[in-house]
Amino acid sequence: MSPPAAPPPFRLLLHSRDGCIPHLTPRLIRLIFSQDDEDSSKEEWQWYRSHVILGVAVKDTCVTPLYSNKRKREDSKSDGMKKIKTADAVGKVQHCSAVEGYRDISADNKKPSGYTFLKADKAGAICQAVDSNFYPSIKGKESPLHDVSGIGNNTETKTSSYVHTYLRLPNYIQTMVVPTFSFAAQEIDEGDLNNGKKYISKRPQSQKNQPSHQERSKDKKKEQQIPNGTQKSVPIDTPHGWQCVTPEQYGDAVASLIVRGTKSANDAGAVGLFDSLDMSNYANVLIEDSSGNGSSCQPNQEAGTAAAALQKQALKKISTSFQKCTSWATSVRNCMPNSLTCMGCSMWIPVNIFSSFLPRHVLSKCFVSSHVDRKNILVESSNVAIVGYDTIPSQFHGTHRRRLLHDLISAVQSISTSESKQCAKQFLVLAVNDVKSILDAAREGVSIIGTDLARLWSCSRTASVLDLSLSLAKESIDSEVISSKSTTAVHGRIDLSQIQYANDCEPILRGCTCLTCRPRQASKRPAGYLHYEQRAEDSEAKIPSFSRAYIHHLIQAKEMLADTLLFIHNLHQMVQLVRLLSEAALLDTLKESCETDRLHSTSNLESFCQRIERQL
Amino acid sequence: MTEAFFSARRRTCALNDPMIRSPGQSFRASPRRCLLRCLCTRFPPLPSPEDFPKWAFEPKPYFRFDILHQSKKSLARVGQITTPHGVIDTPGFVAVGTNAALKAIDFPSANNAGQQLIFSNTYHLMLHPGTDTIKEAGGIHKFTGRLNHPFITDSGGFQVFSLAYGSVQESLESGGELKRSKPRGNKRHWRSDVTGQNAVTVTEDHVIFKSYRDGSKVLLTPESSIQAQKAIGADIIIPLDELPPHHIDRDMLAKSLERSHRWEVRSLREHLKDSQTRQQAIFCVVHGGTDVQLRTKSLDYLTSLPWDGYAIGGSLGNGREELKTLLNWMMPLFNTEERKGKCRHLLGIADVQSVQNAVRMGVDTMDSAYPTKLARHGTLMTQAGLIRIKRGQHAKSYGIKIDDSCDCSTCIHYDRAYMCHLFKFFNFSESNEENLLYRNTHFVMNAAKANEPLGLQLASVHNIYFMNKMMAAIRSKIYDGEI
Repeated sequence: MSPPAAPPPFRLLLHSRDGCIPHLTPRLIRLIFSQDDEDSSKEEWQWYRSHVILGVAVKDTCVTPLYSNKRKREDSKSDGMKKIKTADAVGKVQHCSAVEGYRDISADNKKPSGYTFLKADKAGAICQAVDSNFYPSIKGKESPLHDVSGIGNNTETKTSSYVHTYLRLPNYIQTMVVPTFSFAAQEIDEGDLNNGKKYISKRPQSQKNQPSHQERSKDKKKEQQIPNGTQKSVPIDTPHGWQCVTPEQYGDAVASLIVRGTKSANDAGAVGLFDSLDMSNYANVLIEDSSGNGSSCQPNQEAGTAAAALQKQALKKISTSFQKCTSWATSVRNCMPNSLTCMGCSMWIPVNIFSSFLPRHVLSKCFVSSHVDRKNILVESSNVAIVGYDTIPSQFHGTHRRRLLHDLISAVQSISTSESKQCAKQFLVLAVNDVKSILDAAREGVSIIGTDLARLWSCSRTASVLDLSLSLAKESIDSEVISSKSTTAVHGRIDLSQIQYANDCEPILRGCTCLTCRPRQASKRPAGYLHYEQRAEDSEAKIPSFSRAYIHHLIQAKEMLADTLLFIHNLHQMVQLVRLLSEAALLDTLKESCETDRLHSTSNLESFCQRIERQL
Repeated sequence: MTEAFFSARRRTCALNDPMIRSPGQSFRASPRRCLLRCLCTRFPPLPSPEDFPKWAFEPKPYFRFDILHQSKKSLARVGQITTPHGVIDTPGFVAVGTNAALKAIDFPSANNAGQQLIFSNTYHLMLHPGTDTIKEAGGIHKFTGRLNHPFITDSGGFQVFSLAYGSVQESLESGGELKRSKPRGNKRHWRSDVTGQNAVTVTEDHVIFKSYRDGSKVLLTPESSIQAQKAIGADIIIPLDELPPHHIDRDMLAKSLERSHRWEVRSLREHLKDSQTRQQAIFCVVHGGTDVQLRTKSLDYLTSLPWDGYAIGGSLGNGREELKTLLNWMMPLFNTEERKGKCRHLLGIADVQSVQNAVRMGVDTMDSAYPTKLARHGTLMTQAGLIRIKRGQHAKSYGIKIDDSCDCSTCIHYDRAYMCHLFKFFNFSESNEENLLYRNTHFVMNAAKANEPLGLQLASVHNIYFMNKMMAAIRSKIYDGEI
């Protein structure tokens, strides 16, 4: 199977905090994302490449310290920035000196006076420095992160972007720039992770006697309220604390991350800036009301009016935030240099999930009026990023979430088709925290699904054991097997820190082909000890690379290797899931084109999703 | 007056079983009391080489040490150890993976960085996951999935020392004071007993530890240590020994040496029962502290027995200079005709300066957790010395390689500025140190908090690669006649 030319129907947006793939050293990236040297028949690397998009968060990667010269305090701008700017204006030769100037300043006063966001000129200077210092020194050496053509070839390196040059993300993986994945990142223990929570509560009393560490942290959490954004800027939680970012700054950061010479083929675009919309107080009213029988539930008139007032407030809040997002999206786009838009760098317009409550005329009016030149950015752009999906309170996790998603998508779709005759939009969900949402999103036609689940699961020491058999046909047999097998699995995952896995020599999931689970390859013995009798090797084929017992031991011994192994497995499961979803969807489209009467046959995608849901 | 004093003394000796003592008590007891005890207890004489079967002295098919090149300038030699699971080039660096896993490195990366032999600890593996688990999995190689590379396991003798005194460095700094646990309120917590005076009880027959995991008692005899190591199935095993601290008087050292010898002989006997079917090699541990006479005695006796190699243990002096002088006079003793053919392992020391001298004096392999520990604290080893990557000065060294001459996968991909960035804001080990205790129970909370250990992984890969490359350079230097 060669990698399809067109992107697959569904892709996974992997949250890569800090511009690196978590847990994966270059060696492992090579093993996972590149062709296996020993077994060239394996195709996994190809679908890893085609189905994974790395999300680079501006909040983690683009915050740079701002050094001000103390002797010239009246200068509001930092000296360094100025130098870079002049150098940029003069030309290429002075770039290096500008970087040196930087170093001098940073040596003078170590503590930065503040933080700022990356600008294109500075990113250019950094890239140039890397190019001039780094690439010559590693020329001709094996480089697992870049394709053979990517490095050593001078013309290529000079044009590669900041993401590939400085952050050194592999140039064969698609990247996407986002401001931040979620504002609700602190409250991760909701959603799919409550499995682990239950486990804690089940622990013996010794646990209770201990200082309630969790409670304390919760208190802390409450203190760390998200600061309010203004009309012009939004605060995001960077490694240096909360920083306000304006759309202009964000546009600069995006430009500096992506732009440099030619556009890379693996550039999935950028998501516009959005703000946090805390609807936890209003969600109750909104969702219950919209479910149809809201009026009958309300016992008296007073409550009804209160609810109506609340609802009004909520709608107002949503519409302002919606307005903000769309206007910001335009200004971000205006900030980006023309070359970028010409190259077709796609811009994803953020739309909050709650926007589906807005009446249709508000939706359409909102962005028409916000825009100066009367060009509707939402209509114009073919890409919509749905944000705030993970902020939906957990009591509405059942059917409500999917309905919200459905409403929003159909609303946006209908507006765009009515206003201009354009092709269907692409949708993206930025952050989901459970498998069911992935399935829901896929069924609603969201093409890029962002998640940090693989990392979160491995941090909570659980491994996904979803049975993702390749063939979509056999259903009934599978479900029986699963029900007997997965007695220990909760929500499709097993907690490897439990004692029952201490002597379990099985791989995490039998038949899994990830680096952690797949059987050990036939051992190659160095020539040095062939003199010694050959040990029995046929049994070795059945040994998993890493057994459950070993991972359990690593968890208990607090070794970091456990996280890495679990991450590799969980990532594999996620990619596998998304790939199978794509396959099912492709099959469906094939069917549609072939058959006209598909009334009695359920779609592959639906049946696959149901199969997975049964395991959750 | 003196008579009364003596009788009182004698009575305490009689009251206590003379065999039982805690290490701290007796090491600091007065010489007179030691003398008394020596008179009280008599041990059977140590067996002579003739007491062992003849076949034990013959070279083993599964374990071979070949000297490929002997330097003419010094005692240094280039060799190759062949084990059932792979070869080890000597002089070689042995990384320490106490819990059958290297800290912050995965095995593919470590193997790729040239790491051949890995040092694991029987004591820790006995506590978790337990030797039965490893045996069921088919030995440490299959358990860890590292099939084609050799392992060596320590006996647990080091824990006799470290649980009571802390690390070697701590013991040297405190002058032999016992490790004190922090008081935790009025209540006695089991954790207060797993280190310090109450942690270890040493008798002639066995050592009793308190498990650091749950406070339960663990009994370790020379025989059980070997049996555990048989179950673990490393390629090289080490007999149980007692590691006395640096600051004890000579009589105590002599007594400890005697005991170590007795333990090691018992271990060897246990090992020889089925050594032919098991394909494990056993190294002796030469003791004697920094005392010339005792070292010589230990060396002479142990090298006469059928060991497969020699490990140099015990107290190796305070600081690098003492180690240097110790090696300078001791290593030539190994250079006799019958001792030459076996490999020598230096236990627990492999910093850059010591390695140079040790290799010159003919040490073949040496283990240390030093490189990986440095890496986890943000220090990278380079040709030009150590680099503390977390310092602000590296924050802007865009495109500057960590080490110009290094070809490890970290150096090829990441520059100093990016490493600094990774370490500064995503340092897992330091910021979350206190959370580690709660890590298993509160993992959900930490799931959000735990930062990416990628920086640690990258640094560890670099340091492991650096050590192995340094050893490779030393090997080629020996070939070229420079050392």
